[in-house]
Amino acid sequence: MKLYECFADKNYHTSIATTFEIDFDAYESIVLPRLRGAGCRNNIVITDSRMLTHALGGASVLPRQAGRLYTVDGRSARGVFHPKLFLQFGRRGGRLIIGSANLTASGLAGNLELVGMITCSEEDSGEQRLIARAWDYVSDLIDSDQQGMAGQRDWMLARTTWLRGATEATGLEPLSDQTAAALLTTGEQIGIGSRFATLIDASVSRLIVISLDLLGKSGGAF
Amino acid sequence: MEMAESETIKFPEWTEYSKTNGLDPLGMQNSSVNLYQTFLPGISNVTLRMRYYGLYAWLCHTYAQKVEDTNPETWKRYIRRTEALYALIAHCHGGETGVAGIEWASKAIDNSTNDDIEFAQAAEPGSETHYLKQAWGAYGAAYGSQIFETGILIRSSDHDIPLPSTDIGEPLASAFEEALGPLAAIFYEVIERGSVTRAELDQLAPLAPSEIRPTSGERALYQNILLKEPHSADPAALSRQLSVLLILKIAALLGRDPKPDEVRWILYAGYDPRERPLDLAAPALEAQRQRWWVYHANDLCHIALETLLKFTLDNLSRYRAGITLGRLVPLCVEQILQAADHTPALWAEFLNDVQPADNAYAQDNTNSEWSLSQDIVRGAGRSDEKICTPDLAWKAVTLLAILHRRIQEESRVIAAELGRFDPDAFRSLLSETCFLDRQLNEAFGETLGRILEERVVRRHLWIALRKFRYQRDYTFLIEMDEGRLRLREKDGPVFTNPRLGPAITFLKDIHLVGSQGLTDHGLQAVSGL
Repeated sequence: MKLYECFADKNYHTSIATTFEIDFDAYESIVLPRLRGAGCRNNIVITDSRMLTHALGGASVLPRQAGRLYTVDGRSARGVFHPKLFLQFGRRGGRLIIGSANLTASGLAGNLELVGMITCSEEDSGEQRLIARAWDYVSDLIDSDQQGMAGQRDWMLARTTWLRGATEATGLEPLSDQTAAALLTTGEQIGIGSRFATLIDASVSRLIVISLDLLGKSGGAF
Repeated sequence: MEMAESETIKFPEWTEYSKTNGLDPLGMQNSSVNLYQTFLPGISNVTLRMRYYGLYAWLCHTYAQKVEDTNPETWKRYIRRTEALYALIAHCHGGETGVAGIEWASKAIDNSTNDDIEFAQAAEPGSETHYLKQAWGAYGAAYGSQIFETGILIRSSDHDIPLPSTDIGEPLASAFEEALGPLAAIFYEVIERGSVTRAELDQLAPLAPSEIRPTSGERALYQNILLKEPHSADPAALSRQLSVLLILKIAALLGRDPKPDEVRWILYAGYDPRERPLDLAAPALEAQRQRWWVYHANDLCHIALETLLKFTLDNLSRYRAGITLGRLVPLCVEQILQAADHTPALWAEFLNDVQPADNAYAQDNTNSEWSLSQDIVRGAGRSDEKICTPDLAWKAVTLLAILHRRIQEESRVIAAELGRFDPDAFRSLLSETCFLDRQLNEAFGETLGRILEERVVRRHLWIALRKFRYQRDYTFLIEMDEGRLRLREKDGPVFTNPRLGPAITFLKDIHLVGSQGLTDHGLQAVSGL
């Protein structure tokens, strides 16, 4: 999958991207032109607030189109704000791209990244429930006090009538390709790791543990 | 929800990552390329032998006379058969360079066990045993566009098959046929047949690229293409004529055939390494030399900045976990300053201190542009094994200052050549010396820091992103990852190649230049200037 080519897919009017790191030049040069070229003109980016400050402090080329062609906002989390979801809505369906790629040039094309993608129509399906679940997670990140972003959200909802009646996934959902998937997000009483373990109903013959020192010795992300 | 036994998990997939060997990491070589393309129009870095121009003129003429098929596929087949046969002839003749398909020809002849060598299959478009991969052969990949540029071929308004022009193409086709004599008919018959005997290859040896006869009309017409006084309304032909004359002048100065590097350096310095001046009496020739000066100075400017890029990349390679730009730049500046004899207070002071050599091509002066660039390219070239030392980085800064000073002192009119380039897309000697002009009274170390940060690292990131956006080529040497710079790949300084190699070969092919410098034909061509 060429991730950066996916943004040129049509039939969506809105995109909401969450990312840890943002490179404004990469987003505005690679992602945004493809989105807008495909008719997706209501675009929101939510990034880790400290990385946003870092980017605006000179680590990234400063944004030239934020506030005009899209909105960007920062979010804090207990460790770091690290989810990479790319949620898109259209009048007749939606799409969720979820993976490891930041909105940077290397994340979009230079690295090997892991990405899962599902699309749904207006009809009820496992995919639609997962996308509704993703929306539930992402909608909490949209600050209703921010008039512009709230306006973008309301504009999207007015044109995504199927989302109002969609059922949210609560666990593993069967998908149209005969596979199954679940969306595990933070914000629940039981941690992601424990919920993931409960979904494994077979005996574990080999467990590979990969330790990544992503966040220094504290390992805060885990 | 219980997962049914038949269900499997929807695993995520790996993304494809792009990897392209990028050229021009600072987007500066493109201004050099744009310049040199105007110096020798009609000759390219892949048009390697003059006689192909006559070969295609003859083929086009003969095709129109004998085949009369306007189907482009038929025309393509004739081109490919002609080129394949020409490669066989050249290989059999021996000692030929710059012939398309010569490796295939060598194998085809060596592997053939009988007298007949079949080439129709290898010439068939799309053939797996092709003599050349490109669909339209060397004609499509190299010569076609240049032959149109020189006016040998023109486009037809009725069909897609080119025609020889009446003023250049038809006479050249006739002269080529005349030079071949009875071999022309044999050559055409073998093309039609698609196979050739060894005896026929021996017989056709006079067609080889090096076999243009000194007294032939064919040779005279090639000389006309390169040197005839063009119409005033043809600036491309005039530029080509002046550049070719400059090469001939240099051959006369050296008393032997010049190498491409010697030509560009002598045009830049106005002298050869032995301090012998290039005497150009004609104002038009001197004006053309000044254009070459701007081109070469522009190349030296990007060499200097690409060296600083290499120095930055080598430093970055020490930080596998990455380092912020705010830390990397001062580290690099500190090392460069330590390599300097003394640290000037201001860029203006440094500019005052540097002493450009009287002869920029002097090989016994360590501060001549030639010596500095030789040290830089040898020491910090594109190979990963080569490490750019602080001393080499300092030489790059010195080279930059020498260029800046030459432009200031010698009132060089570089804006006429470089001012037409969009300053966003093209960085050049003009944009960089304008930047340095603004830095004249800034602290020296701060100026070095700004060069590294703005003119090198951020410039590279900007260029790489544009290449990715518009060409989908991922050419990042440095990546920004979680606020830190990380090394992805290395690159180093490299000169552009301004088509001088093929131009010199053409002059040898048509007997204007030989091992003793100018031949009698060459002397005649430059006489009266």
